[in-house]
Parts: sequence; structure tokens; C-alpha cells
Amino acid sequence: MRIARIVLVYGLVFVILSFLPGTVAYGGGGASEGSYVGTTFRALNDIWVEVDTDNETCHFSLYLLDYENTNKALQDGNLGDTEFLVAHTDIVAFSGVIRIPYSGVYSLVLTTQADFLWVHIRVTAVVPRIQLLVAGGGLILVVVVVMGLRIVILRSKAKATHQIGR
Amino acid sequence: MVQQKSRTRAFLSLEIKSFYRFPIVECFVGVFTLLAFLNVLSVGSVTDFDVESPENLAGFLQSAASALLYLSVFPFMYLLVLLVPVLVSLVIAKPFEDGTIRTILTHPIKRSFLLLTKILITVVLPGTAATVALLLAIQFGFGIQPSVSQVALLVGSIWVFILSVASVTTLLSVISKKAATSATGGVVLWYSMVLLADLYGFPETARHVINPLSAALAYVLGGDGAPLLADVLVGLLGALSMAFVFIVVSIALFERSEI
Repeated sequence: MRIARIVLVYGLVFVILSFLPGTVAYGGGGASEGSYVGTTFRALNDIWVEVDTDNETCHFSLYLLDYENTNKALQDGNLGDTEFLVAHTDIVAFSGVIRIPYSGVYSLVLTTQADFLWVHIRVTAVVPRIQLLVAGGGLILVVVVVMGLRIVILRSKAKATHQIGR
Repeated sequence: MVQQKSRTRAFLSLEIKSFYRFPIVECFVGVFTLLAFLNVLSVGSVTDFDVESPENLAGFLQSAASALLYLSVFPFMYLLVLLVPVLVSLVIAKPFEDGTIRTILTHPIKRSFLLLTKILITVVLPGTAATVALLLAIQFGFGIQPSVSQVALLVGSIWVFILSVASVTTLLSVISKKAATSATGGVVLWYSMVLLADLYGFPETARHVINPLSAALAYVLGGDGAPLLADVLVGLLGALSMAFVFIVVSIALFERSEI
């Protein structure tokens, strides 16, 4: 009974945490043809990304790399053998949700054909955080099911005892 | 031997049922879990993707993991300073005040064992809640695995800090025998000690002994002015010794006290 209450508290806390908004992380810099500009960050769940530039006529490409590919790209010095989780090519601005498959370290990398482009990247977590919401909801569900079964078993036992008493 | 075990179990059960009723344990669990996650769920710090300096990535991973640990554990410090003295006062001083200590002493157990058990539970409850909360935060809220040694150091310092706060408040409880006095005394004493220890010019070793958790956090965060591991360990050892002395004195006073 006590353990069930504690598990229920964990579940409720996880559900509350899953709805708490996070702070915005900023990145970016000056990009030119043949160079890479981007930001490496930690992500637990889906992220909301906004990318804009100081020149809205210049096109750029935006790629999302996981930790392994970030490491590989940094070692190689280019994105040649890199696998992208997400790729948006030939765009002038980006604003939207990017799906994150698992928590870890990711990089948003931007390339352009323009001579020079100043890039602003904003990254924030999307709420509700599905991972925590599922964990919290799962714990609450387990407690509710277990308590329900316990009540059913206790009632049937009480009924059996009552019948024997008669 | 079997009889003693059964008596001990019966006493433990009574203690938990009498002093740790709903929702005390649940509140500890909820508050610690909330605090452990609160500051670490954001995207947090970022670093430039720079092919000219690939070593930045390793540095980022190290600093981000340390910062996450710091953010996760730092709120515990002020929570423990507030909650542990109140808990110790309710468990140790209140029975003196309302007379239930007489009933408790009818149990065939030694006074020293009784006091030690009470202290042990007051340390184990917040210690376990804080440790589980931190480990859950690392599992679900970090995204980067911190080093095992850093986590072990922080967990150890949390437990030692709880023990030292609990030991001082136990002494206050045994001397004053009043819940409000010992709770207020414990909170005010520890809060001022923690604040004093942060002042410039306060002796370094004394600072680490008074607040080993703060020293361990500063070590994990690193940077300029971070203490050495040896200093942190000296602080932990000093805090443990201090707690031991306070507990021994508390037991001696409790055994002599008239009830």
C-alpha cells in the first residue's frame, strides 16, 4: 500500500515535469560557402527549432546529426560520410518541430552557397515531454491496475468468508 | 537472538507507523524528484559545431554532464537544511514533549538503540529519496552520462550532509526536549552555517566540514577556485567525525536523562 502511494507520487511528479516548459538555447554565427555553422546541444525529446538569417534571399541547408555522426563529421572535417537524421535543403528560414529518436547529444549543422550569411539558431524542448509523460502515466496506470485488482481480490475473499460464515 | 530480531523489527515497524505516516515519506519522494529534474530538462548549454576544433565536443560533454549534476543536486542543499531538522525534531523531541517517549521506552530495547534507530531512519529516508531522485534524473533527464565517480561523490556527500545536520539537531532535541525549539534551532543554525561558510575569508577546511555537499558540488562543477578531491574527502571525513561525536554525546545525554 505504501509502495503503491510512493509509485503514484513518482508518476504524478513525472507527469507534472513533462509539462514544464524549458529555456531556449541560442546558437549560430557567420556562414560562408564551404564552411559549416551549427550548434551542438543535449536533447531529451523533440525540439522546436527556429533558424533565420540576416539575408532572407540567401538559401541554406540544415542537417540534424546524432552524437556518432557529429563526432564523425568533426573528425573528418566535413559532412561527406555523415548520415543525417533530418535534412532540409535549399531553404531561406526554418521554424518547426524536429523529432528526436532518443535522448542524447545532437548537432544542427548549416551550410550555404552564399558568400556570407549571419545565422541565428534557437532550440527549445517541446512540451509535453513524451518520454516523461509516458513514464509517469505508465506508473499511475500500473498503480491503478494493481490497486483495482487488490480490491477485487479482497472483495471476493470477503464474500467467500461471508458465505462460509452462513 | 531471534527474539531480539523480532523485537527490533516490531520497534522499527512501530516507529515507521507512528512517525512516518502518510504523506511524510511521499512528500520527501515527490519534492526531491521534482527538484532533481527541475533545472535539467531544458536544452541547456550549447557549443558551436566547429570542424576546426573537434576537441570542443569532448569538453562540451564533460562540462555539460558536470553542470547537469550540479543543477540537479544544488537545490537539495537548502531543502535538506530545512527538512531534516524538522523531521528529527518531530521524531526525537516531540515524544519528550507529548510524553509518548514513556510508552516507547516500555519496549524491551536499549535507549542507545532506540536513539540510533531514530537517527538512522531520519537519515535513510531523505538520503534514499535524494539518491533515487538523482539516479532517475540521470537516467531520464540528462541525456549525457556523467562519470560514476562524480555521482558517487555527490551521493556520498548528500548522505554525510544529512547525517551531520541530523546529528546536531538530535543533540538539540535531547537537550531541549521541545520540538519547536530544536526544529527552529536546527534550521536557523544550519542555514546560518551554510550561509557563513559561503562568505569570503571563512577557513576552507571548516567550510568543507560544515557543508561537505557544497564542497563536492564545487569540485564537480570545476572551474577557478574549485577544491581538490583531497580537500572534499577531508571535508567528508571531518563531517562524519563531527556527526559521530554529536551522536555519542546525544546518546550519553539520552541515557542519563530522566523521563
